Amino acid sequence: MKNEYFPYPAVIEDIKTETTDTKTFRVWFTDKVLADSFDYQQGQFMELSVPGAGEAPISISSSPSRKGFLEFTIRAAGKVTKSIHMLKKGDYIYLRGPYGNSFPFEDIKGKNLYFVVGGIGLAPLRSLINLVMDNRNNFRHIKVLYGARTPDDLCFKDELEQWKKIPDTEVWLTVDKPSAGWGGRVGVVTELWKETHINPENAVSIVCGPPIMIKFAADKLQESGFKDKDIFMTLERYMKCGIGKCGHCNIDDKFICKDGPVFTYEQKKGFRHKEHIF
Amino acid sequence: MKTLTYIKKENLNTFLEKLNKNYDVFLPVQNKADGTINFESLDIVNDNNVINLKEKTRKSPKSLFFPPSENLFEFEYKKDIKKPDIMEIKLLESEKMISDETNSRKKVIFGIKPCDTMAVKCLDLVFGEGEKKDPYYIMKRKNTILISIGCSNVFPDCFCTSVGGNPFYFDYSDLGLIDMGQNLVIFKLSERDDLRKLLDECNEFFEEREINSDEEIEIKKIISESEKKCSSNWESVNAEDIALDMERKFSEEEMWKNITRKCISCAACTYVCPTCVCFNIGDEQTGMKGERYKCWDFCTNYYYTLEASGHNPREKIYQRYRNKINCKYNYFYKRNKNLYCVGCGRCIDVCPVGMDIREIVKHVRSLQK
Repeated sequence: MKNEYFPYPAVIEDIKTETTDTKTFRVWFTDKVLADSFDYQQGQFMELSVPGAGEAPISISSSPSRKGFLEFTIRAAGKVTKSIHMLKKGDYIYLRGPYGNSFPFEDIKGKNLYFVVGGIGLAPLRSLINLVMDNRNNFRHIKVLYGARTPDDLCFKDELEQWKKIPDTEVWLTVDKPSAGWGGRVGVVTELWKETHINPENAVSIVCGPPIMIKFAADKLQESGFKDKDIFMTLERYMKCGIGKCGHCNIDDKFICKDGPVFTYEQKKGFRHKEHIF
Repeated sequence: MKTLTYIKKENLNTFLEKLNKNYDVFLPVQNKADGTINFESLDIVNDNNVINLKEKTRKSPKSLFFPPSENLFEFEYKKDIKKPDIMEIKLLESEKMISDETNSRKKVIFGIKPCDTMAVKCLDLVFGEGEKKDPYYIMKRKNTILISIGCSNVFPDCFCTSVGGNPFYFDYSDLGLIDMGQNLVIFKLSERDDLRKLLDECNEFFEEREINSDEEIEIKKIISESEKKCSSNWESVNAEDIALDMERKFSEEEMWKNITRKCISCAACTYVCPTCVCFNIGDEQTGMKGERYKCWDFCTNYYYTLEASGHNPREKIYQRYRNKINCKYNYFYKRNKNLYCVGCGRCIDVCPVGMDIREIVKHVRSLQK
């Protein structure tokens, strides 16, 4: 019988600093059989562990179209993520998964895509964005609207530049608090609506960010004419087992780890459990 | 002509001892010093720890499949003197813990009450169904035979009849017995091969004869009286209706605040509940060695949903208690068409502030909306 709780070793091949508290870890399994058979979908997450510190669920930020490695973009927030930040190139990290459902891919081919993102919320979306970029001809116009607290909190700065250069692809950035040398836009991500046209026709939107930002972005998209079922979002909860057993991550009768983390705004609105702001 | 198969109560102890040779037998044992009754191994039975099949156990038998804390695996950090920069980690023992050899000995839970067998069914749905299963549970559960004795002794907190069971509900028992004074009579026998084997091994204890009409009447009387007594403890609940009602009244914040005001998040109810199986996973390390463990957790705990960012989606006690009640009477039903409360009444018995789950549900249902 497969032991779902047992993690497998992976070696840290590269570490990239994204912001003062966020790093992207590129890792890959040491076991060749596992490495060859491993597969995942855009939007899924894995349980990462440092034996002794514990394990934490982290979204996969790399695209399934790019084989032979996995990337996790991690903010040092709790005990486990802080321990992961102390690891260096060549160290081992332990993984189990992948878990959860995924962002749609086949179903959104031929459409215009709007990515509305806040802060480190770009990590799970980057998996889908790069998958789309690797299949660019199957999609129409793409807009990435990305907001962060400060210029330093913008993740994947190199890639944002690269995406901009791809035809029919726009990247709009904004920050809440500018710092010296920031010549770009200032304001929350929904402020971008004033500057760029959001057209719901033949389009879907994918949203990720802190709860408050998701709410405002989803409402704004709705105002622009998006249907609730065309707005996708990835939700978060404190998780433990990742396989729908431990109980921690439920919203109503759904487990975020198993039935999510990707939900449509339609599904989200159907939840009885409302957060104070949501 | 119908027959009656029974075991004489005077032979019960010898029967159990014989059973204990090939199986690990667990049954309700009363500690004479403090009076508490819990499921224990037959091995500890002595003058101070006596078998008590009449009363309700304080704790449910869930810990036999789902221990309060259990290691998932062990790990060890190792350093090679030649390569001091590299810290090697070894993960140990995982295979052994879920192997057939470690779990080969069969278990018998003797004297498990019908409500607790309904709870075992619930746990099977949580851990044993779906695409991803919990091997630690399955390995402990799969070799277990459940031998129930129907409840001719119904307690004021019992309400299994309200949630789809009854004191002689043997659908999830492998062997169902009725206490008829001198004898324990077999009322239900499952088709399990290992149960047949068990009965064959112990066939000298079982006697068979034709049933007389008095006995037939007596059995019916025992069953109907217990049922009557139990159903007078609470009204009958229609699962579908109550799930809908919970759903409809979820947003009545004021009502939820009112009815959960007394709760102090102490987790006593979760501790004794036969179906509450939420757990946490953590690591403990001493020196170079450590283990990853899985341990009981409770959803009325503030930390249960607290995220590293500081955000807590169920910050207030009423939100957490509401989730608990909905888990039992709504969510699990939605997922599995099965209530997640079996009416054992232990939570009522143990609550230090006198909260009664029946009252809570009654209150929710009585709110006009």
